Amino acid sequence: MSLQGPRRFQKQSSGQIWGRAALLYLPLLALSMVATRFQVVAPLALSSGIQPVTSAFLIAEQNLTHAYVTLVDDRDLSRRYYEVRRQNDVLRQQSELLQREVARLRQVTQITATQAPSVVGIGQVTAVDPSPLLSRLTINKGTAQGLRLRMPVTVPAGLVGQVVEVSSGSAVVLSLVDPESRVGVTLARNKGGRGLAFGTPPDRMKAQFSLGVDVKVGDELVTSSLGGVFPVGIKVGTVERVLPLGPNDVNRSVIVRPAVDVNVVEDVTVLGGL
Amino acid sequence: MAHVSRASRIIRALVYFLLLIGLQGALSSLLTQVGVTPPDLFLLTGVAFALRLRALPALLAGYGVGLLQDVLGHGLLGLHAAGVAAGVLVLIGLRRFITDSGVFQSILTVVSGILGQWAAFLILTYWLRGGLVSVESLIHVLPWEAGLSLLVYPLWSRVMTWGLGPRPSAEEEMSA
Repeated sequence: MSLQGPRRFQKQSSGQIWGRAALLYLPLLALSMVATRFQVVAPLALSSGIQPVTSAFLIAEQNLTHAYVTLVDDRDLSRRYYEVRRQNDVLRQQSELLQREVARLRQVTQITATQAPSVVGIGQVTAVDPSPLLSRLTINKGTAQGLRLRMPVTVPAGLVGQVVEVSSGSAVVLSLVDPESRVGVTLARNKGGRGLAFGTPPDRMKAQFSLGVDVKVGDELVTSSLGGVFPVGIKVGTVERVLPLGPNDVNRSVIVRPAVDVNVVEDVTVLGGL
Repeated sequence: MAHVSRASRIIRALVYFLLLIGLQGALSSLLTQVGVTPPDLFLLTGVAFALRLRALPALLAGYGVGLLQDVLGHGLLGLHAAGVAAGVLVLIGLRRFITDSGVFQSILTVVSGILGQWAAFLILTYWLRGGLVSVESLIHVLPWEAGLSLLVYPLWSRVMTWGLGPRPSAEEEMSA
């Protein structure tokens, strides 16, 4: 009969209890020593019976681990996505700048080959005269970049105008359609004739030729040496209409559509003055 | 626990042992990935038996729990059995000084059990002339096992109370 409760403490001291337990432990230890020495293996059926339980907990643990890893990876991927997106924006901006630079250099190359070799520089249009009667552009180049008065300003499509005001960091360009503009012109492809084109706002020019010059609609006009401001042969525009001659007219007047629409020009090339 | 029927106690004990087996495996799998030795829930179960049963049944129960650990681990049969039983033996000698609550009591309980267990490991290491216990394992395994066992003991003791029944108080023992 086992002893319980107070009787256990009354009839046996704790030392005696522990002594009996230690005596029981000795054969248990001996059993373990024999089992470990001879490497007794437990029947596999014992552990395989528990396998479903351990598998269920292991799967749960693996799912938890994978969920954590996925969460961390997602956070990392999200951070990397925003970083790559930011880098992409920077690269796009750089690409845009480089494309603009390439376009400018192509413009310089084209102008150097087709109009005049003495390119001073490329300027960007920073302001446009708001007056509907005037047509003047402000560019971001000035005397610091070598600009001077009366320098011709062109784009690959044709002549834009000339520099009429210049400061250290900017310059004002008088476009061909400005009423104060005067350009010596001649018919392209060596058809000859000498005329003078002046601006007629908002977007046309009127050119006057002597009566002996046979000007027709569709003729192209280029710069001539008249006035000594512009290099010869830069495209100015196309004859749009030939005005009827009056009884007292001594010149033939034509309306010219400029080769360059100054309203859409962004970069212009400044040529060295003659 | 007087109101809990015998069948319910058996079911609770079964559920507890299933939980013990599953959680010990899951913790081992999880923590060994990060190089940490998991807490020894089997030893804590032996500790629970030492604080709930009379000396000899507690010792046999501890040996049985350790044997279960050996069977599940496919290792040396009898190694953990001797270890857990040794932990129980140490606690049998100390349990009249250990109350049911308090941080110091928890530390004393767990550390006593672990010391007893590792003492048995040392004996078996000498017996087997092997490398079961080395300076390396004393440095890298024992602190983690002891620390994490201490850490989980307050929570796990609640699970043990649910599964194995509460520890009889001094009043209950005196009035029995």
